[in-house]
Amino acid sequence: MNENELIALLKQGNELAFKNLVEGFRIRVYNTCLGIVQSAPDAEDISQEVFVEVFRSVQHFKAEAKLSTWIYRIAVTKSLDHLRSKKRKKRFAFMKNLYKDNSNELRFEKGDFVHPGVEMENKELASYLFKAIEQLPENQKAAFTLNKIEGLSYQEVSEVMKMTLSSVESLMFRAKQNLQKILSDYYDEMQGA
Amino acid sequence: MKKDKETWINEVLGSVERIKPAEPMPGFYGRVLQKAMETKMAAVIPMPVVYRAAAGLLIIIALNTFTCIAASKTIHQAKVKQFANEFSLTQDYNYNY
Repeated sequence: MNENELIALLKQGNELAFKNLVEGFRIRVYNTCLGIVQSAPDAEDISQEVFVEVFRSVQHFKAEAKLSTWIYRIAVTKSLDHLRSKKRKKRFAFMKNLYKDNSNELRFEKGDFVHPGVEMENKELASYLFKAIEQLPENQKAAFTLNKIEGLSYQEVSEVMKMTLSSVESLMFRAKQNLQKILSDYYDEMQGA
Repeated sequence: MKKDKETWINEVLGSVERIKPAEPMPGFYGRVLQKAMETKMAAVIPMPVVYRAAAGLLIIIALNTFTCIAASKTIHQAKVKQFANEFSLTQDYNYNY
């Protein structure tokens, strides 16, 4: 079954087509979400929402982009929305703590994340990388995740993020620069400790 | 020292180079379907219907309020009339000299 046939069946509400779509894209969607939100349960939940959104809005899909590009775009948008909402909750919890008790500890503080697909000998190093990725601005985080974790080319990243190729190149350049700076600070901290 | 730092940073940046894709928990499709059904159920009552229901409710409340005010006025007038009758304070005086 080619992509056009799949889209036509999806528009007719064909459940088997939808099942094929989910089975074909679940790993790609899950890994994109996981790379951005850095939490397995949250990534699972967002991935489900991505497919529900696909199911709901496939009627309006005009096939101007590839199906995979459209699905990646939904996954990135939903993951970034999730991070924004988490940030708001974190800020609210912090404000609540200011008035509630004397503890400076944040309740939503999370531990180090290690992607389950990272090779065993690289797990420790990768945990520093994910911690640094977390601090990148949204666009850089999304572009870096799509390229380095999901393995998309710059051209594909530009299509998903609706940007020009040169914008993605400069975004990736800035992302790498920022990561180097953050990692350099980690290194200095570790040497000082 | 500087070289060590650069080496470490490059190793960290390269730590995801041979990353393997992670898989969601088994039964993923079932959970997607369940979520889709929940969303569908939530969409059964579309917003315009909710707005229409709210408008209908407002009209009912307004009519009730109007009726209550009108009824209380009638009761008040009846009481005044009764009081006037009891104490012969009717305004329709008819003196026949």
